Amino acid sequence: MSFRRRGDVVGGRGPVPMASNPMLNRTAAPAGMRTPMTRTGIIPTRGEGHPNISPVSLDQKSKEDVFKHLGLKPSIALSNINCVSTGTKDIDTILIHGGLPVNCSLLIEEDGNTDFSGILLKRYVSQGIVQNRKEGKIVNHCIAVGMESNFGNELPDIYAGNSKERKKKLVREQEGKMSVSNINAGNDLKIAWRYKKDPLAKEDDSISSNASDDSKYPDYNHDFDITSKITPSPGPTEISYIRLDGGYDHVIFEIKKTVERELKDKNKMIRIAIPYMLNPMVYGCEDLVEFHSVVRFLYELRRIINSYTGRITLMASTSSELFEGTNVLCSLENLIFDGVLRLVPFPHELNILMEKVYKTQREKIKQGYVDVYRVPILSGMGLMEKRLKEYSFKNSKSKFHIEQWSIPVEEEDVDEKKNSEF
Amino acid sequence: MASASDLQEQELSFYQGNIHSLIAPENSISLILHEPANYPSWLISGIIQQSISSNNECYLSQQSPAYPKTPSSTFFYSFSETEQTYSKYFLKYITQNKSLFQFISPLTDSTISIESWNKSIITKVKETKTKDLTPVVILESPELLLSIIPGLTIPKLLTQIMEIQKYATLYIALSTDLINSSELVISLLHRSSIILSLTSLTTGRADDISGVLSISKGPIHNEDINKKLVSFKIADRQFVYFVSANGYVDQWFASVSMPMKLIIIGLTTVYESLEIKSLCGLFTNGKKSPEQFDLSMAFIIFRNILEIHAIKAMVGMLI
Repeated sequence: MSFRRRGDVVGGRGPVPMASNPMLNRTAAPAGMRTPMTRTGIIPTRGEGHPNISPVSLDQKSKEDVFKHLGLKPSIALSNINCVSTGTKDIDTILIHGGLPVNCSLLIEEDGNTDFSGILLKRYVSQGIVQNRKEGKIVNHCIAVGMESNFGNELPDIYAGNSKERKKKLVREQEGKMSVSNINAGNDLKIAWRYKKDPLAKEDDSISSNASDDSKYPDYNHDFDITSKITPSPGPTEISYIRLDGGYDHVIFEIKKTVERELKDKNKMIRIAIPYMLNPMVYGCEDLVEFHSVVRFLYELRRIINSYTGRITLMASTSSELFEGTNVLCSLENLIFDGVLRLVPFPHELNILMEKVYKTQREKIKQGYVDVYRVPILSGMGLMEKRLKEYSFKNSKSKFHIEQWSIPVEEEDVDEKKNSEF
Repeated sequence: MASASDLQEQELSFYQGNIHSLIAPENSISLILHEPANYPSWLISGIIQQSISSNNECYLSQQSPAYPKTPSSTFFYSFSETEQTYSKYFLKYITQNKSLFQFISPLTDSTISIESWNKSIITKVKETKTKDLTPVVILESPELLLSIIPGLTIPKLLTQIMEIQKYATLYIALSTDLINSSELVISLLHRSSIILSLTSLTTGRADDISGVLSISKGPIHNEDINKKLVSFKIADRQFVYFVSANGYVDQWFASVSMPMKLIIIGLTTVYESLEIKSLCGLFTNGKKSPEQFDLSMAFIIFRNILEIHAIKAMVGMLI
């Protein structure tokens, strides 16, 4: 039997293997200190150059001017980098950092006619809105490019749990209230806390490593129920819709204007969502999908994101099927987006096989692969993080579940053959 | 079993018997080609470290002897990455003569005018260039400029690059996967004195190896550029390397780099035999300007012929 200190990180046994997490106990890095360079890019020497850069000033700044935001958490992989949640815990995990690093962009590509990426984008926006509601003031402003107010009305709300969990929650709430019986119950626990089997504590243990992280950053991410809708719907203070009518120049102008307006409040962060990017239904078939104008638009967008250190993130979704092998998709994957994931629904034959193999274990049936093409920052550093057909996903009412892919094996056939031989 | 001589090969060096193992000769072009999953930031950081070092320090060749050298001003222009990507390497390895190094990215510096990118580089380079010392300029993903700057064509971009080359030792990092810039890659391939290519393992992703670095000789001979520097003999070889998130890089000598070498020799042979050397832009002395002909059209016409001849040449050499 081994003992761990309370603050130590327990190796994850979750579905997706977590990277080793030596920096989990770090405090959030202050906004503005992520870059070691000055604006002109000159690296300052120790004790000279830009005041933000020298190690001494970094320490001072971290004490004095820490940008606090309930949606921020330090990266698991790199120091001095903060992350925001994508609204999907397992996507946060496969991005290695434990979320999407600030000032970074993530592209979700999708093969086929399904709309899983659209759901992921909604979760990303919902996460920002939910944090506003939890905090009781506007700390996130979302920008939905190419969308109208319907998009905001369809955002999923927090998953309240199944009926059992809801009952337990009610009981817990009741216990929290002051009453004679509760005080007695509390005393009882104090006397026999070592020996009493506490079912809640046991349940918490089963959630393993995520629990300690969740307690430290309780509002960093949530599970969403995709069948529910956030009520009341987010208003103009929480979300801006930018139409594509005036072309990309107009979109960039509107985004700049919104970002400048919203980030005057030093407690706010911005989440930019571009759902169904380049989809002919939204973008038409002419100027807005022309290669050079798309690259120019996204490059300008990246410049906006990077001009506010630690305050903006971007997530977009597109159909890889429509643009497979084209200049546009190659550029988006290689040069424009910091992170690129692709959802590839299983071919029909594999679906049939899984249905057959997991007849009695329906929860094991997956819906497709999650291919990782690029991980923010780490891929740029030269780490080889391209992982194809290593992960599979399953979208359910409350969770977008990702786990390591393993080929289903038809064990029944083998048994039948053996029986027939005898 | 590894011997002491094998251990010597662990040191990354582009040139045989040259103490400045990663620094190319003056006014040459070194091309860094990489696959989308194998970014060369670790390699670029090593080049910068050695370039600005006054004692030949480089974290990729730690066992090479400390040798006094004049540090060069180094300018790194990245069009696709921000300081965030390089921060780990810069904090760790760029510790000497920091004032000689500048990182410039239009993504983070809104004051930079992208349209006149090369003029700002030339101005800076001219300021630091002396008789004895040529600054080092590193360009990352210049192919993006073809989309960002309206009306910029490949010949125009090449002219701008060649203009910088006149005043600096130039390194250019390009992605090989971009369809629209394949002509740019080919054009630069034939102007380069050294070609460094970073590729994934053919067997796929591995936990302990990030990729393969191949060092190959380019079609431009260094002695053509500067008669003083005939000693820059390129060490054709391959290394496998591993990059970790904490900024440490290990590289191991793998083999002599054959495939790339053969392709380059093959293509050069064909170019010479077809007497289209000048047409295809092997004009580093500045006698011809790329605007005198449409390079892209020339390549479209000749590419197919060249590929066939190159394959024939390769097959011939192998036999």
